[in-house]
Formats: sequence, structure tokens, C-alpha cells
Amino acid sequence: MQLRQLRCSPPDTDSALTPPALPKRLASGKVPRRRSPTSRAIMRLVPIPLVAALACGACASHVSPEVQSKATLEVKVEAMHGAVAANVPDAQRAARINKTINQLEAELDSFDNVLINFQSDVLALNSRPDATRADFDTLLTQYDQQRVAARKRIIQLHLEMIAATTEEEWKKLSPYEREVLSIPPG
Amino acid sequence: MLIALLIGYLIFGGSGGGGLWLFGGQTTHQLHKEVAKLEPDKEKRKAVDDTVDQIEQAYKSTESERAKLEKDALAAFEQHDASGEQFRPLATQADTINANVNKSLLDLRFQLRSELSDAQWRQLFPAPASSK
Repeated sequence: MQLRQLRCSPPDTDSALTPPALPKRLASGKVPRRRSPTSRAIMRLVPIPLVAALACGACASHVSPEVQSKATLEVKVEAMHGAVAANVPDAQRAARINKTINQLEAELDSFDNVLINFQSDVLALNSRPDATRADFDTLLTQYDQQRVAARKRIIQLHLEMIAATTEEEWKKLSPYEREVLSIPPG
Repeated sequence: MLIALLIGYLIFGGSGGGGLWLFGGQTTHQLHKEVAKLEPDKEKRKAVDDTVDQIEQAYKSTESERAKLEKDALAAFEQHDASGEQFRPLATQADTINANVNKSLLDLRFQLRSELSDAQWRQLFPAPASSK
């Protein structure tokens, strides 16, 4: 039940694709993933409905976009784990998919940081009246290399999930992945 | 305007999410307003206003192309039979669009720079607090 409350909005799908019920191990709090220290600290300090409210933007004016983005990502990853538990009966494959989802979360989180740093660097450089074209080219090239590498890794993780699912299972998981990939950046 | 999504930035880089990253994330509407504050005389700021309009055109000229590509990419993620090969042309096309938009916007950034004094530039694009 917790996961359904946490989700900002259901994935763009019909109710048949929505996980029917939360598995016992999730309901008991045994979530199949390792949280970051920051995340664990947040979860310890604030009640889950508050985290959900942060992620849903209810308190947007009091929370930095970075924190909001991370909280949204966590909520959507959580929902995807729930979807795996509900739709992938094979325990070995489910574990493999959950591991990949966690890697996907780490990649997206890391790319969000790359993006934040890039935007901050661009702002600083642009504010300098003496900034040269070469300064911008260097910054852009560096960022693009990181972006293309992240894109490659994320597509690879996606392909690993595809390989671990049947077509029917993927139909049910895909809307959740789309939600994970569609978060606003921090 | 594309919705600012992480996948958009991942595919398209700086211009992916819909923000004019090179201009402090300000929209061209905001830039026009700020320029008007710098130079109230409409005739005197005409060249600058024209450049801001060109920035908008440069950005918007690829908007539908980028929106379609973003949609195609998300559709490819939904297909169970999609291989790595299917993502390659999408990525190549996105990188080409990204490079072209970046080049045009950088050209216009330096055009705008040449039309403003150092003081006006600093007023229009103040340094972020951390880099002052």
C-alpha cells in the first residue's frame, strides 16, 4: 500500500498494468535495494508521506530542485521495484531486474549531478564579459562526453532489463521505466 | 517548448530540456524585459532586441524535430524487441541536432555580447553567488 501512496501519479497505463498489491517483503519495509546514505537519512528523519509530498511538489517552494528531483527519482524507482515484484514471478530474474533498476537509479542520479554542475559552470562562464568561444567549447565538449557516456550506460542497463523479462512482463514494467526516465532534472 | 525531463537532457544535452542554458535559463521574453530595463529607448536597443529574436528562432527551429526524437526514443524504450542498434540512429540524430543548436546559440551569444558593454552584460547576466 505504501508504494501506491508514494507515487505522484500512476504511470500512463490502464489499471490492468498497475501492480495489484504490494508483496509482503515490500510491505514489511524490506525493499530490494540499497539506499544512498542521504536517502537513508531522509527516510529516517521524515515520515514517508512527507517524502512523497516533497516528491510531488507539494512543498516545492521550500525544497531545492535538486532535493526534489532526487526524491521524485526515489519514489519512481520504488514504484518500479513494486512492479517487478508484482509482475515477475521468477525470483532469480526479479532479483536481476531489481539490481539493474538500482544501477539505473545511480546512473540517473549521477547524470543529474553532472547536469547541475554543467549548468552552474555555464552560468558562471556566461556571466564573464571576457569569456571566449574556446572557453565555451571546452566546457561543452567535456559535458557532452559525460552525457554521451551516461546515455550509453543507461541504454545498456535498459537492454539488460529487456533481456531479463518476457515481452508480457516488459509491457507491465515499461510504463514504470518511462516514469523513471521522465523525471524533471534537479 | 519541450517539457524539461532528464531523458531530454540525456539525449540532447544542454538544449534538451527546453531551457536556454546559455542565457542563464532565461526565456527570450525575460531577456527582452531585462534588455528594456538596460536601455529604455526602443530604437537604441533595436539591434539587441533583434538578436534576442534570432535566439528564439534558432531555438524554436529545431523544437518539433527534438520533440519527435524524444518521443521516438521513449517509444524505443517501450519495445521489448528493441536492440542497441535501434538506439544508435536516434542518438546520432540527437547529437547532430544538439551540436547545431549549440553552435547557433553560441554564435548568437557572442553577437549579443558585441552589442552590449561590459557593465550591461554583467547586469543582464549576473555572476552566480558562488562564483562572485
